Amino acid sequence: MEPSVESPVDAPHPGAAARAMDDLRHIRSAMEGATGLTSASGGWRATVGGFALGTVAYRWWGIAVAPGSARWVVFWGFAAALSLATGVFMMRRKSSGRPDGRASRPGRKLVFGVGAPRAAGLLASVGAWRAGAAELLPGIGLSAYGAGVLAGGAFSPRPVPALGVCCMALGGWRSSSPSRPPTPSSVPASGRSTSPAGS
Amino acid sequence: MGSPGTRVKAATSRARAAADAALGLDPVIHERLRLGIVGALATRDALRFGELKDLLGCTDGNLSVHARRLEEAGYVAVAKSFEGRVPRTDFRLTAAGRAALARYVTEMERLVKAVRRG
Repeated sequence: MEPSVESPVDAPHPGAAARAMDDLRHIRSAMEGATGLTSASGGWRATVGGFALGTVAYRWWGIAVAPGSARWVVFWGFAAALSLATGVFMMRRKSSGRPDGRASRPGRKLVFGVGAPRAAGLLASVGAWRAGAAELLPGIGLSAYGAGVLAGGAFSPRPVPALGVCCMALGGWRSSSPSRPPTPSSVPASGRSTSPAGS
Repeated sequence: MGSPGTRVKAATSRARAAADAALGLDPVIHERLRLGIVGALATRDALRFGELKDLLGCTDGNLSVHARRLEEAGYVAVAKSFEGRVPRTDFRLTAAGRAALARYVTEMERLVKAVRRG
């Protein structure tokens, strides 16, 4: 609010109205911020939890899948879709009953902030897959996820953007040193790898 | 005696307070940070000190001072506890605080409408 000299008058003047509008916007912004904080936090936790679940499942089941194979891509696609669906479901459930919960500015910021980098990551993944560079997919996916967390959580409590930065860094590192697809001799006929990662 | 700038600032502040009083605005709630606190608490059962601070982008000291003013007016209830050894402060909007916010918003809307009508 810009300081200005105002005299006490009976009738409101345009300056007072401008201040009133500004105050109303400020109230709305504070309310939206608090609503978004509530609605988003569950979504974040669920999304991150979903990815953690996917990682755990990969360690349990993914060892039977050769990295770079079509089955491997389907598995990761399923894990991503599951975690995203869980996040959206948790967010909807938490914001239900709150006026303007999903259409609020923080809600839109979250959807577009997270959604756009994930969509770009999906396109890059498809491109990498078609170019025969499937070993790049984990790095691309992790980087896109990190970018989404960073963009969607830019104004959230510090651990959220920090998580995004860490994921992006990890994704970058993973992309720059992708694991080589296994040779037929490293994947036994049963499909079970003998690598330590699967133990 | 202060500098001319300080005197102008004080005069501006007095004039604004008088104008606000003439408009019937609640001086407790009619302050940007306190308005933000009350507005944020209106959508939640309770908010922690850290959550409010992050949300409103203010310092610890600023938030403490303004929250105490709201507490003294009976608009905000403060609950202090410990989570292990870490102190925790929760803020909650009281019924009086909710009513004050509703009155304030109504007054602001009335003001805007009055000016728009010309």
